[in-house]
Amino acid sequence: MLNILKADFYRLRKSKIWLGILLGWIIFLLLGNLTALASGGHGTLTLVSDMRNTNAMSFAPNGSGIMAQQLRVSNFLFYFLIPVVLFSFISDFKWGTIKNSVPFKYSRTQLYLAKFIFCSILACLMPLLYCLVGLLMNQIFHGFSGSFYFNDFIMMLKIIGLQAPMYMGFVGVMLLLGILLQSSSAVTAIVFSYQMVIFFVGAFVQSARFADFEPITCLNYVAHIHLLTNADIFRTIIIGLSMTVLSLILGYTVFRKKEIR
Amino acid sequence: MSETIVAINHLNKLYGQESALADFSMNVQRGDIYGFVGQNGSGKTTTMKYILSLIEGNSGSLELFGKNTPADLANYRERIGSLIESPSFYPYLSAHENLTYYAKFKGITDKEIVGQLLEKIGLDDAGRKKFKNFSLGMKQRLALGLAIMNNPDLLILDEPFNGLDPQGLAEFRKILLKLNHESNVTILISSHILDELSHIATTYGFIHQGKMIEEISEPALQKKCGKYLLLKVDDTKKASFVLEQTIHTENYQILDDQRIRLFDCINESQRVISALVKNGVEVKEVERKGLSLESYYLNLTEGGNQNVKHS
Repeated sequence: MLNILKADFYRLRKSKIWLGILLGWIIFLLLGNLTALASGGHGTLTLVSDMRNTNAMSFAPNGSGIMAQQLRVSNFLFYFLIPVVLFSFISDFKWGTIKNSVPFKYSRTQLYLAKFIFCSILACLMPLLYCLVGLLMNQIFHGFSGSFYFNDFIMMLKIIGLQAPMYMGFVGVMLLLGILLQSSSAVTAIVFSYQMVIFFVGAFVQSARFADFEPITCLNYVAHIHLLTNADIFRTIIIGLSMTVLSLILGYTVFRKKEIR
Repeated sequence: MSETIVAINHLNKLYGQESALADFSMNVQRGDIYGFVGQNGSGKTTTMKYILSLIEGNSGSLELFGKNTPADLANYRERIGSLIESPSFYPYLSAHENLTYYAKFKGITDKEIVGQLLEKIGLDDAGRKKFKNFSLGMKQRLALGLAIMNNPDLLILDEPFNGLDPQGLAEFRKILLKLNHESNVTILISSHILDELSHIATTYGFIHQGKMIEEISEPALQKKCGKYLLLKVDDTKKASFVLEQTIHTENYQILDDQRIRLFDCINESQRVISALVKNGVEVKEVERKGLSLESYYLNLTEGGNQNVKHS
């Protein structure tokens, strides 16, 4: 399985996909920082509004405090999981390269798990890199005069750690969709429209419970870690792990029986 | 006794309600170049995909290298190299990068292997070119490179001659023959280019409408087709001496003082000619006679769904 991971990281290094992802983050952060600049340094940005408004990010902090702020719009990072999953596995159906990997000695379980682990590692690394890029841009806009606190870095890591099961769950669901549909564009369309539907539903369902359990909203909510109770943390982890386990079982079951025609 | 590398017994495969393979059996022996012949949709690719576990059968069994448990089959697939349908690689990577990816995937640590493979398949000059910019012939060569990467004992090649120019065809054939002769690689190969297949195959399997209608060795097929080399020489006595002493065959017939029918070495006419010439026999004409593989196949399929024959 390690060989599959090594090969996929090699392919990632050789592809331009990570450049595209980086460019996406830079554009978003540039937009936020410019908004902040235009409003005298107090710009806020929200991609969508939910009933708790947990995803409003302020670009005002100067220094390491910006990192936890950035994670309040983690639903934005969710979109970047799509190219990662498409790149790692779903495109194998598009290019036909699945015919090269399935006949080799690895079992389908190993192959599926390796792809899941590869995507999960990237999914967990992405928020970390996104925070660091955000910090760098923040400093560029503030003239490298920020305050840096060790606690901010610890808090960022705690939030990312808490988000990790959910990212893994999303990866699992996207892989499942990919195996079922074998189409990059179909997976992209469904994942994009999911957020749209959820925002639409969220606007009508005026219930805090909905936001508690809807995974993408949870993702942003976790960024307010200082407000969370143990029960909140436990619930978040359970949601993520349930998504992960269920999607993995379903995805693997489909893949094991899948005919590669 | 030769070892059976692939044995498929009474395989049935349905796609929905449609039968792709019906009570299909096949035996490939070690060292064979097994020419798998059949029209489009007859079940050749389905059979190959079944061997490679890309699809499952509805009933029937498979043995690879004499083993048939799922764990053994999975392990022995490491000894198989394959090219199924069109060559598939990542278009945004170069030939070198694609092969490096698969070398890592297969756990091959030898850093030289990619360069050696590119040289072997004649793509050493195009190693840095992106796969998406490759011609079909180059793609086929790259796919062969991947298939032979892990020094397989069995090569499964589905229509590998597609898109190759005459020079490419000759080089491809040379590589396959070298692998078979020098490394004893067993090759299961399907092709529509029956003439090309007839240059290399040592055994044939004829499939029609999902059924194996005949498995036959090359010598038996040649006998059935009435194949022979018609040699026109200046001195048949001298020529017959060379055939017996150098080519080691008595399987010939002298027609008159200039013509000989040679029933052996039909695919080795070059070797025969050079032996004759070296020994002072003037070769005026060489002609391959008898039923072609294509005609034989057509006669066979016109016969319809007969029982499996082994020759």
